[in-house]
Amino acid sequence: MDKEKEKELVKSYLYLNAVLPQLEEIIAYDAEARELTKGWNCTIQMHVPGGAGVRFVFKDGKCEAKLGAVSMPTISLRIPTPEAANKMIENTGTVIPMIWGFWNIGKLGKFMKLTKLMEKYLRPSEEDLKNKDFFEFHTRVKLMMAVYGMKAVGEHDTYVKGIVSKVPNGPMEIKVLPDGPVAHIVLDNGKFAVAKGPAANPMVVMEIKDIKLAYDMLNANVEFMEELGLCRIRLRGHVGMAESLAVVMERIGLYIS
Amino acid sequence: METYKFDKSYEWFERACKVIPGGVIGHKHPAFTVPGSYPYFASRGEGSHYWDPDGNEFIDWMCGFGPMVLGYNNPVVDAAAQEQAKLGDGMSHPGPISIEYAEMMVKLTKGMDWCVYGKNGADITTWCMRLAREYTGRKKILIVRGAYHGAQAWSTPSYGGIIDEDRTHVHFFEWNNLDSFMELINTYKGQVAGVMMTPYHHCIYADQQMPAPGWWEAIGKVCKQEELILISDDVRAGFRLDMAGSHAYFGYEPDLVCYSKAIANTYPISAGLGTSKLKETAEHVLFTGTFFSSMVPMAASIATVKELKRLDGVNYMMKIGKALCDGLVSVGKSNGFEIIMSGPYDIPFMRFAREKNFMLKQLFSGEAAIRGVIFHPHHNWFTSCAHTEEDVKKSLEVADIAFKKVKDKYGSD
Repeated sequence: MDKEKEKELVKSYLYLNAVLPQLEEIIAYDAEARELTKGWNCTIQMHVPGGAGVRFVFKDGKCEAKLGAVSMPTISLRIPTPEAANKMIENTGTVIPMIWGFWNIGKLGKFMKLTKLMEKYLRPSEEDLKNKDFFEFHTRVKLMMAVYGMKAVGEHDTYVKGIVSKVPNGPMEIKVLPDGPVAHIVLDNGKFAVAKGPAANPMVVMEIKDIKLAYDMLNANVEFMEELGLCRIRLRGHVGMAESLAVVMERIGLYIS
Repeated sequence: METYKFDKSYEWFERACKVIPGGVIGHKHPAFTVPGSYPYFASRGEGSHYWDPDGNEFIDWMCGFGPMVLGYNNPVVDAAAQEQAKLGDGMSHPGPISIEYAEMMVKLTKGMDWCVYGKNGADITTWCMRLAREYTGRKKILIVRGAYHGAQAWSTPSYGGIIDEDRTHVHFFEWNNLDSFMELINTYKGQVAGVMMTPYHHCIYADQQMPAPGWWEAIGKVCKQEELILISDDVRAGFRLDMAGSHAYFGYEPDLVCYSKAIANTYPISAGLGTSKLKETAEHVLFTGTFFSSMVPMAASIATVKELKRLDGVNYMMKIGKALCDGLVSVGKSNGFEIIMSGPYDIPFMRFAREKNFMLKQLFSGEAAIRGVIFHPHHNWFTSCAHTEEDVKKSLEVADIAFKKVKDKYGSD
C-alpha cells in the first residue's frame, strides 16, 4: 500500500474507531444530545466496506458505541473508501454515502446533528474550558480518544506495527488521579483491545497526577520525560512496554489534530 | 532505618529540564528506575559508594552501568591518569602511550593481533560492522534479537529518528536458536558479511541467558564455513569474565572484539581488536574522532589492567557477586519469595520468579535505594573489586527490609 493510501486508511480508522465512538460519552453528558436521541431504540452505523466501522446502539435512553459493522443495523451509512470517510468527517468534500434504512431519515438527520455537537467537546472554546465540569469532561473524552486511537494506529500504521510486534502482550492501564478517568488497552500479538476502567493484572500502569496534567499531556503542553522525573506522571510495571506504546500514542498526532 | 529524601536531586532536575531535553539524557534518566525513590544525580564517588546532591550515601551495584571495576576515584588509576595529564592530552598527534596501549591490549586479548581505540562501545561496534562489510564485500549483518550494541541508528532499541533504511541490512535471530540463525544464513546466502553477538545474552527486562552447550561451537563453525566475520561485542562483559576476553571464557574464536565500559575504570575509552587477516582492511575503513587518541584514558586503562591482574579482579568480582546473588536468593526465600538470579555472578540480573511486569522488582529496588543501596529494577547489575563483604552484608540487610515492603504490598509467593 502506498504511503498516501495508508495515511487515509489510518485516518479513517482514527475517525471511525477513536473519535466518533466518543459520542457515547457525549450523549451521556450533554442534555441536548440526550434530548435528540430520546426514545431511540435502534442501531446506526457508519462504515467503509472492508475497513473501519462504528455502530451506535441506542436503547433505554443510552447509547453504546461498538467498533465494526453488522449486517442489519437500523440505519447504515456505507462510505465507499477511507478517503471519502475522511472527507465526510472533515467536511472537506461532497460525499454521498450509500444509506440503508432511508425510512428512518428523521433519525438520520438528528444523528448528523449529534455528530456536529461533538465539535463543541472535541474543539472546545477557551470559555467552555473555564468551566471545571466541562474541562474534566473534555479531558476525559480526549483521553479515551487517545486510547482508542492507539488501537487504530497500532493496528494499521506500518511503522507502528513494526514497533508493536516487539512489545510484550498484556494490558496497559492509564488512570488520572485521584478519581479521574481510567482506561486500558490490551495488546495481544499485534492486536489491541480497548476498554474503559481498570485492567486486571496490568503489565504497566500510567498514573497521571490530576486532570489538569492529563489535559496538558494530551495537548502536548508538557514534556513527558520531565513529568516522569518530577513524579507527576508515574509508570509502574513494564516501563519498556509503556515507552513503546507512548510512541504509538504520539503517532496519532501525525494523522489528526 | 531512616529513609532518604532527594529534595536537592529534584531541584537540580527541575533546573536541568530547562536546558537539557528531559533533564537527564539516555539510560540514566530517572524514568528508567523508580522516580521518587532514587537520586537523579551523583555528586562524588569513592570506592563502591557514591553520594548524591542531598548528601545521601549509596552502595552502588550498578558501577556506573559497568565502567567502575576498581572503585570510584581509584588512587592507582587516577595517579596514572594525572601523570599523563601533566604531560599533555589531546595534542595534534597521538602519544607514544597509544602504542603501549595497543601492545598491552593485543597481548592481553586471546587471538587478537591489532588494536584501535575510540570513546564508546558504539564507536567500535559500528566500525566493526563496516569493517566486516569492507572485508567481505557483503552487506548483511546478523544480530541477536534483543541484544544491545549501542545507540546508533542501526542498533538502537529506541525509535526516534530512525528510518527503515538504517536497518535494511541488519537481520535478527534468536539467542541459543541455531534454526533461527541458519534460516538467515540460508535466506541471505552469500550476502552476509558478519555476525555480531555478545558473549552471553544480556537483554533488559528479561533473564540473562548463558550460551547453551554447543552454541558457540556451532556459530563458529557456520561463520568459518560461510566465511563470515564473527564480531564479539564484549563491551558489557569485557574484563568481568576473563581478562583475555569473554571469548576466551566461553571458548569461541572471533575475528573482532569490541571493548569499552570496564577497561579504564570510568575513564572514557573503547577498544576494537582484530585478527591479522583484517588488519589491512582496517587501514582503509576510516575510524576517527577528535578525542579518540586522548592519552589520559589510555593511561587509566593501562593502570586498570595492571590493577585488575594484581588483584585477580575477575575472580574477586565473581566471588563478591556470588555472595550477593546467593544472599538475595536466601533473603528472598526467608520472606516467601522465589528469586531468580541470571547471568554471571558479577553481572547479575534479578527477578521475582512470579512476575513479568517488574512491579515487585520496582518496589523492591525503590525501597532499597531510599535506604542507600542501588539495585536497578530493569537492567543487570555489576560488581567491582571495590565492593566489600561489608557492602554485601549491608545490602542484604536492606534487601530484607525491601522484601518485607514488597510482601506487605503484594503478598509473598
